[in-house]
Amino acid sequence: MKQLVTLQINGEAQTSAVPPHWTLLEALRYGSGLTGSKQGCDKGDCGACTVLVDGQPQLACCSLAVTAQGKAVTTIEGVADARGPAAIQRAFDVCGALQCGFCQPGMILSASALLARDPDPSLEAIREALSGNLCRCTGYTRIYEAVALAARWLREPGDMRGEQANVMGPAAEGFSVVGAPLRKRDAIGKATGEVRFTDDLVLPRMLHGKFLRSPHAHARIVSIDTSAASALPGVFAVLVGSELTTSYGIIPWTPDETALAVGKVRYIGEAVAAVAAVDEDTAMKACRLITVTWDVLPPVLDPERALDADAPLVHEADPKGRALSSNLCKEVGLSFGDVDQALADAAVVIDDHWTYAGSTHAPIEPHCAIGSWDPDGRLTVWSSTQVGHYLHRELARVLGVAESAVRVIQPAVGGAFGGKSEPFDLEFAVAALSRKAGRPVKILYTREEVFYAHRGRHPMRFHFRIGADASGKITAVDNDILLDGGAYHSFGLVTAYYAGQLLSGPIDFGTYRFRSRRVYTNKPCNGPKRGHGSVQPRFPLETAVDEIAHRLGIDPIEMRRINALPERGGTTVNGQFVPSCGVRACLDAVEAASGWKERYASLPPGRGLGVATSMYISGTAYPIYPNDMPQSAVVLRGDRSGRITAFCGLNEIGQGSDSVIAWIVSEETGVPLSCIDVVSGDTDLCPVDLGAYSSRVTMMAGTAAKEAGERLGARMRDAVAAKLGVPPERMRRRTGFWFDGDDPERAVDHVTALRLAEAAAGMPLGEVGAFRTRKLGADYRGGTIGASPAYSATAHVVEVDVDRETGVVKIVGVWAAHDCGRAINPVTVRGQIEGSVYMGLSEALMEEMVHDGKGLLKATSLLDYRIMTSMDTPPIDAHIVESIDPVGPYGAKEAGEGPLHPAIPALANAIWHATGARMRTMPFTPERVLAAIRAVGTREQ
Amino acid sequence: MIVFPRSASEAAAAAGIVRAGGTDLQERLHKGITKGDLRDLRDVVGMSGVGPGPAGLRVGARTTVAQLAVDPSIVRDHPAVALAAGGLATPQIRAMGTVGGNLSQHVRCAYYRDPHVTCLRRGGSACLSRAGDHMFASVFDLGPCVAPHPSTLATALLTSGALIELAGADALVPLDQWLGDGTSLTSGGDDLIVAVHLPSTSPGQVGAYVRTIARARAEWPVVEVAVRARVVDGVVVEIEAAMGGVAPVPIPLPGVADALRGRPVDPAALAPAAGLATAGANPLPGSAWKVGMIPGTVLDALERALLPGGAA
Repeated sequence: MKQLVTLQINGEAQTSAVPPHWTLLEALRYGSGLTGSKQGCDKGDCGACTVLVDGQPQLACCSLAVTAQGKAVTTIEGVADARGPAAIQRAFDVCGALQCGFCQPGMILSASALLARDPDPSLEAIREALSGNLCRCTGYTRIYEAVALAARWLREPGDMRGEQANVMGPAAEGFSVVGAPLRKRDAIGKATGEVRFTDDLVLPRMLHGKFLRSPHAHARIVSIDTSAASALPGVFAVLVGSELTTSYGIIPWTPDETALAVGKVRYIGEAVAAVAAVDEDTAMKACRLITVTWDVLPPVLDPERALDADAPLVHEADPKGRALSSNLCKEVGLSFGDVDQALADAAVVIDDHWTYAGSTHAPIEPHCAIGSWDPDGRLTVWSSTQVGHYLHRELARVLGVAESAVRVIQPAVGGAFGGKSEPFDLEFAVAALSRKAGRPVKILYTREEVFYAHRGRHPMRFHFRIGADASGKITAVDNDILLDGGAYHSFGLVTAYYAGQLLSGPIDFGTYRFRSRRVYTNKPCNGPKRGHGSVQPRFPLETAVDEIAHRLGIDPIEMRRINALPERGGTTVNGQFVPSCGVRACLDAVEAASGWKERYASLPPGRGLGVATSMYISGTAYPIYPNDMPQSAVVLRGDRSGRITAFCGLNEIGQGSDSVIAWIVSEETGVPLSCIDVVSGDTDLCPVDLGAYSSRVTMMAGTAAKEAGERLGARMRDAVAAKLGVPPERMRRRTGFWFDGDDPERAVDHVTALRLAEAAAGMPLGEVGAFRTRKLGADYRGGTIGASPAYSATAHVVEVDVDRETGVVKIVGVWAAHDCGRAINPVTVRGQIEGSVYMGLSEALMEEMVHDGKGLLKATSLLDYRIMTSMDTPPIDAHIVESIDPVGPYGAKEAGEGPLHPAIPALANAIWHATGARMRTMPFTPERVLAAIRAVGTREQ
Repeated sequence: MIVFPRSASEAAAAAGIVRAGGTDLQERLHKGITKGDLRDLRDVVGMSGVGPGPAGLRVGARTTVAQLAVDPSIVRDHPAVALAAGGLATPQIRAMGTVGGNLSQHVRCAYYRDPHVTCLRRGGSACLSRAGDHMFASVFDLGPCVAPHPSTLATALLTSGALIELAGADALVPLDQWLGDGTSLTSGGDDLIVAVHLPSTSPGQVGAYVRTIARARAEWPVVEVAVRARVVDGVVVEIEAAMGGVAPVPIPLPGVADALRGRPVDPAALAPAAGLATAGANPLPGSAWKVGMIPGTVLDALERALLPGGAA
């Protein structure tokens, strides 16, 4: 029975009939259509649903609509007024504080309440006020700046827009757009809550789906009885695994997953059945009416145990139906040079074991998908994916329809980090349920389901040996790696390679050998998390290098200089060509910024500094499925109104890729940013881009945009040159104009330039550009895995304060320098560096996927699975190094993943410096740090 | 069904699960761990705010944690309580969560909260944490369930000798009595909490609240310690300490307090006193590490309360 409730929402009395159990969030989103308040965790842990109730930040997901009766509720939609966005919203935009934008409506409301009671908040007050709003993208630093800037604007009322212009700076030398600290094109829409994420979309007659998930880590499905669920009023379709048996997988050679479990389940939380009903409550009720008869099998949970001859088999057969006799999913062994001899000759050898804990992406937006079939049998799936193209292919295969009958649309994505980079059960389920029900179906994961979907950082165990000569030169690395893969393959074979192949820079080894084994276990599947496969081995490498430096009496920063790859044209020990490597400049930057030279030897006990470096790919050499077509393409349409529309299949996930395309097209055509549209993430409208993974987008889509922009720019140049009667090579452009370089007074605005070009062409203006696959990599089996057009480089210094009585580690300072080749926009690059640093430190300090002895995941909420809050995150001092790469567009390389890697070993090295304790196991929780400190004390006695 | 009683007595007489801030309850309802009709305290008058009472201060059960943290009389007379209130959860939770709700919230054990399994507390036959993972469980193993008591406020209120006013009861119940000794699964009972009473204190109260955790906010502590004291002319004339996160109920630390009471403040005496806090610990195999976290946490709290300028 519904109850009438009157809420004062954004100053307007709204009376509606709501079910008494509806939360305020449900009433706002479903009842009032105010979708700016987000559902991130549905249990009060993330703060994305924060609204102001009588001026105070509260959680709409824990409030009942009926209990908010009569109270004044302010949502993000009520923050802006007729004059436009509020100061706090503009400040978030200008400071680059908005990446995915999903947590930010709540964050902005918390910040507004702070500014209402404290016009000049200290940094500590800002951090405290935002401590209930989790952000996973930004590393909080831009947000701290934005709140402080908004406070200043409010204290000193003036021309905010003028101020905005002052914050924005000039372009790089010789450019009109590239290098300028511009606002992102979608940021203000995110700050005002207008940008629509998948769960914000509502289709007519739309049903809601839910999954029944396995309570067993390993069990055969004897039978499933769905009759009671089907008979429940309000249920429109029920789906079980046997209806959708085509297996899939992101890697075409290893399709070992099905949309719903077929025959048996392999982890607690695996989807067994799905229901579509009029609402989520009915769908959940129906799921509880499904009875499954199980034949429970013993699970295998430990990766070493999984390799025993008598271990239960997670998979009895491979995707081709051939019987398997072991849980070994992939083994790679590669050797470069005589490692044994080099170790025998080394002046110092470190030989030890390291353990890297599994962690997960924890995007604040849970996965969400909507499926809908049109009367002609065409399927459209809206999904929060970061790989629209691969999803498109797999949907067609699994559902048994032509690829031409499938359209994938990716609305705004609220954080991904690799966690949305392959197809998931919900995307197939919405399509299949919608086909059965004849109505659109939406499924939004609960937070628990996000944890079960996982695909996070692989837990890895290392037996790591490293040798150096007396001068500090690393002469040998020998690494035996065991990867805990979880229940399915995912990107597994790539991960197994990356764990070894990507380690060979910027520290150059004399010789190198690795063996990498990925095994199946009865746990949620591991996959690619930001810095896929290569973050983990940097923990043993960079902490061991630190240890060698100290044994040899070499400064840890100097140690890394001694071993750095050359700045230009280096080749790694495993044969990868590295066109540019700015790690020395990165080390110089963090050494100076952290005051390393002055402070390293004189810090008090309990205080420590640590350094580490890394290198990362800017896209992979080859697409996931072999083909000779471009890996990315851009289509430009010029319009006589003065606008250009760029179409590209890339997936904007908050990293700013749509904006990168617009900036490049503006640079090449002189058309102002206000006149450039970008259409992305739609497989019907856009040429293929392979997706937002492996840090490939600026390199590949950026190259495609540059090529298309150059071609369209050339048409405009030639047409204007003909009109002005000057040779085309004399033409110059600046934003909004083309002009004669010898006589700048002779200028044509961009609208006229487009019209002249269209007239000259005799047809509408269209141009294409692409990134084409070129031959890369070394000439041995696996030599192309880890090959990339270009490699970024990073160095971090981390400073910690360790409580020697409790083992609590407090991060006091972080200095991160990253060689991104060229910063097409320094604000967004800085945002990527800061977000990466944050994510690395957070997993090093507190994150861990823990399962109990039966395979039950212990932490399935953002409260129990701890990620750093603003209170844990000091401002991050990010430095950009520009090595101007010879390959990337304008010299640009990646910035989204590389800067994560050094955070973990730099933190470990800082803990050692503070306490003398060498951390070999992650995360560095109080109990582990305290035990390590006490072990050192025991040894000293 | 949801009902909105208008008075404490109406609320006590009504049926259903008591709902105040809802910050814990909503998750349990969502997961299906807790089921049933609700009696929401939205319209109940006279249950909010801090004012004078028969024992000293009366804190209405619907007073929010945020209000408690900044109430001038609490800050002055019971500083450890104010610090504890200001240091738990997040700003939003503190703004919504109530004093009564904080005392009555359910344990944070992963087994209790996971709908895939049925633990002892939810009607199962055994404590699943005891046999399974219990890394964050109790180190004072007092009863059948090994989940630590979740209330930070209870820990701090113990140092103030708080009393509980229950609906329909004539006498106030001492908090430690209300909490029980940890042997029962129904600590606190089902009676509606109307208010919490704090006895009057002598002027010059000092206090400290310290929690040892991996992340700075929104985490249940490994160990948390509250200290209330009064120092006159360099002598500790009053001191009480209590510890949470380590047992099925928050536990007072009389041994620690006795070692310091009546003596001059001596920095060197604090560590030996803090060491007494582990007396009687009987941890589970997986939670034994937590014992090692106790002395440092207690010491930190003692230093903050007793030494000028707080902890070094």
